[in-house]
Amino acid sequence: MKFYGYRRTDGRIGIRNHVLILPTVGCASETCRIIAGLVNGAVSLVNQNGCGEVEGNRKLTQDVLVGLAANPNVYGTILVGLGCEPNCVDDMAAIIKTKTNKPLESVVIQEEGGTVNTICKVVKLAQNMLLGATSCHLEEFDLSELMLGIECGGSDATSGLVSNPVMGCVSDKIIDQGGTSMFSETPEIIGAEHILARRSSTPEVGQKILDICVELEDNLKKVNESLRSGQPSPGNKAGGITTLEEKSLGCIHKGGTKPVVEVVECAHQPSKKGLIFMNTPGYDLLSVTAKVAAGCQLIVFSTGRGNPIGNPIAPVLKVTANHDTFVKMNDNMDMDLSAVLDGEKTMEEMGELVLEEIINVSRGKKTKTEIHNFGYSETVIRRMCDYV
Amino acid sequence: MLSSIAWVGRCLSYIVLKEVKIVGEKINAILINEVDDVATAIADFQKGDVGTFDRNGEIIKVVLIESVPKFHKFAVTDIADHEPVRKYGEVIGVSTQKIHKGSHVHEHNIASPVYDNDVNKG
Repeated sequence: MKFYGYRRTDGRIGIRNHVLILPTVGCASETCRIIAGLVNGAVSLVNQNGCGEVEGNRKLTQDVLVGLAANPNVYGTILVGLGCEPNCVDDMAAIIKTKTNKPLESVVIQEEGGTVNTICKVVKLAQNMLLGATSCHLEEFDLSELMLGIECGGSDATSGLVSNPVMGCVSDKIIDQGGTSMFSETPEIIGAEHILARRSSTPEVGQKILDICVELEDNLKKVNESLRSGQPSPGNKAGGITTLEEKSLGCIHKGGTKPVVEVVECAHQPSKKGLIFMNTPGYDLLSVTAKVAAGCQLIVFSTGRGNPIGNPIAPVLKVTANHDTFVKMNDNMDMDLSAVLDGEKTMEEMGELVLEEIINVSRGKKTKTEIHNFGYSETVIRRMCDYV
Repeated sequence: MLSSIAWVGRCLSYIVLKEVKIVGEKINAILINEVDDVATAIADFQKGDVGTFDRNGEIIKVVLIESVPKFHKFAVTDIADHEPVRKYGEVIGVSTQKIHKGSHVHEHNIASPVYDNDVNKG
């Protein structure tokens, strides 16, 4: 089986062909949004960070922004900074150049003399970059070049019963062909971490899974908080999930049956292929952002109650086994998996259909997050005093 | 080594298929693992309705003694107070009262198995 993509100058394969207008600091975010709205094929995102942050947070900001620029769905990046921020365009450009040799430009608002001059300059740079991007053409590649990000959010009981196990089938199929599948959200493996740890490729990887769970719970205890005061969410409970342990036992199904070969930190690119766990908070906007920053070309989002979130760089394919949700939130939902719950299809058959849809999306079929040109730009970056 | 939970996930559809198409029983609930104390309703139940599910190829019927919303859980056995409650073949919580067979199982009668009383929020 093959998927379709664009080979980048750094050798990686993207399934979209964006020019990224990337604000290095919050002050430049609106300017970037305006520019991306003027140039067909350009995308931008909201970056609230880059200033007013300590060194540790600046590093977390850079991990994500650099990773997004390096994501193979991006043909090239234009950095837009303000000029006085700690996370300056020169530092960002230097780090990006250690990761990729793709086209890169930098513009500073204070040097250009304001928003209007910056818009004029970046629009011209972007149009030239898009001429390069649109000269690229889709080619066939082995699934070994694919890195799928698997997310679950707005879960109800159907998530653990059907949509997460179907995602697990998809994950297994991609890994069988040499590819990579990444899941994340550390709070949502707590109560089931022993199962993942047993299934790790080495004792060290298994221990790492146990350690990150202890670390998360300990960090919250230090500030007299408990994970279970926020988990499961009110929506999870209304959907039939009672405890965090029950939620986690459903969540880990999306990792399929393969051994976990590596645990990576938030937004870090894995060094191995196969099943990867990323240590992230459970906040969907953050964990989707982090997986795209790690290089995932596509996110499959499994939900029970429905969710509208998208991503500026990677298509987000929404699947649900709750038929009522599929009908009610149809403008947000891509696939209805409820035929498995009804006994009309097996998990394996549905997994095949989802994989076929992933191939279709790589070939250019738009997900619901892309089809409206709403410009979904959700981007959340973790902090040292963190989201949960 | 494959965990039992992954295996359960893979077998689930088979269970549903078998019941609907071969046995011909009207299945309206799912027991994920044979050791589970709770099944998941795949229809809205009223008091007196019968939850029907498969356990290891055997059709089991449980009379609901109260209403259970679609996708919520009901007890398939009597559960004493302070006992572990299993779903997916794993412990999802501990009972906080005696739970009768056919009862709705949710926050009002089970809690996280982790003793978590040092903070009391949400």
